[in-house]
Amino acid sequence: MPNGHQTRKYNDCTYIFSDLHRNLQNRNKSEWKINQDEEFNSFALMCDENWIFKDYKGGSLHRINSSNEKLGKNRSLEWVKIAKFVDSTKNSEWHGYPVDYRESIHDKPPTKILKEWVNKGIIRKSQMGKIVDNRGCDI
Amino acid sequence: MTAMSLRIEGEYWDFLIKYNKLFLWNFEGEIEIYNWEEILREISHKYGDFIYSLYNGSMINQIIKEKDITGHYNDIYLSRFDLDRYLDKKELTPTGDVITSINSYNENILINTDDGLFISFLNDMGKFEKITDMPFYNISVGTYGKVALAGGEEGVFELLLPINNLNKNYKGYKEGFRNIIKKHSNRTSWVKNNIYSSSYIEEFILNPMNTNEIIYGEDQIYKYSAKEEITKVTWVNNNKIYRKLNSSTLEEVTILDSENEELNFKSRTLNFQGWKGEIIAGAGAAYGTIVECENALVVIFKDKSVMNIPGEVVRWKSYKSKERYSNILGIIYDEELVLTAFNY
Repeated sequence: MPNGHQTRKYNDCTYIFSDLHRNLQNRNKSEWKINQDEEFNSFALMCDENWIFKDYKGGSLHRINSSNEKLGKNRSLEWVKIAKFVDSTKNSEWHGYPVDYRESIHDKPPTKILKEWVNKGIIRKSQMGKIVDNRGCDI
Repeated sequence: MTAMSLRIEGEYWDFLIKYNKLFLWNFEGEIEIYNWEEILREISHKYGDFIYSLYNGSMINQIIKEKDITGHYNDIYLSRFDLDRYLDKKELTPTGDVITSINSYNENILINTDDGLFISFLNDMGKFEKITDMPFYNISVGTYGKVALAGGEEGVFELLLPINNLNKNYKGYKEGFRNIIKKHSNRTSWVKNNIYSSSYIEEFILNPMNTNEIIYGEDQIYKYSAKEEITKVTWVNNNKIYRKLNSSTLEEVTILDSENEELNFKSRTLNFQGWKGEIIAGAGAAYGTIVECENALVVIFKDKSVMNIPGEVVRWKSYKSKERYSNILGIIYDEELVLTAFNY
């Protein structure tokens, strides 16, 4: 992650607001469509709920009034509702971006996290099935 | 077409019926292994001998007469309590958590997890070996132990499994694993020993040589143009390729045999009733083609008759046409697994 990005602290973590996924000039990357406070809230939700896999990557959502809202667009300009956060340096410095689980196998939320979303009533089990099998699904 | 359903209570995530055993992957990261033979025998004893034959695939094309059925059951329910009597043993999955998916070839079982791909043996699932750290979108088993795996942007991978069952020390498995097509893949399947790879973001590949070259492109195969290019939904069933044209229409392309080595294609469209909702996915089965819509599973049998199964499903699966139990459609719902057998 290049220097010069805005950062904000959350517990022992530093969250980096990356410009790479905002105001895109080309479509090689997904793009946040929520503001930075909302992006940060999504990250904080992941931390609070421990939706983290292998200590350095996690998934989260944009939760408003108990529903999952759109948070960005994928590379094909379709709306998406899932974000991925990574601590790529494994130094508690996180950044994140919207993901479409069909575009990259590495962006698919881990099954363990999806199961937790089901157990908390955030998604239905049928929706988890569709995400895991990469069938189309609106959560 | 006669169908009969066995409803099994429980929260399951995947299943396999093989070698007279019923393997159930539950939501807690366990594999429950049941004596399928015993389940069938006892149910048949209670409800009618035809059930045993039907679920073993030996009533294909036979008519089930009313007198064969004790009572009027076409739905049999097994509670957790009933099922426990047939439990052989439980094993943990390689990660001790819910898996992504499984598939099998002979005694080998492939287990796809977020931690990577594992191989194990059906009769000893307490032991397993990791093939790779990579997770996959799907595992498709072809003939002669060839397995095609969809790895998203990493492309299509092939794993060659030993044809005999003697290799139980896992030697050589990793050497038989390689990246064969470097184009985005969301799903792999097999058409006449060719890998068919489909993708949401790239053109699909039907490649007789299983190389990076696109031998048959979309323009050559399809007659109609899809209105929803981005959300590509496509699958194959033996000599047929299916593609979603719009929310309620499919194009079915039949691959015709020809005297020379070139493939020829014949096309028709299939329209779905509006109440079924948008077409989401599909797969081939021995008895026909299964289409998943938002509000129903639609089974289009080989004789072109149709069965609608209303409701939203968690997952569903039917095993390959040449395997035993290939006349069974398994549908996982929130709190039960329904195994429907057809005398197609």
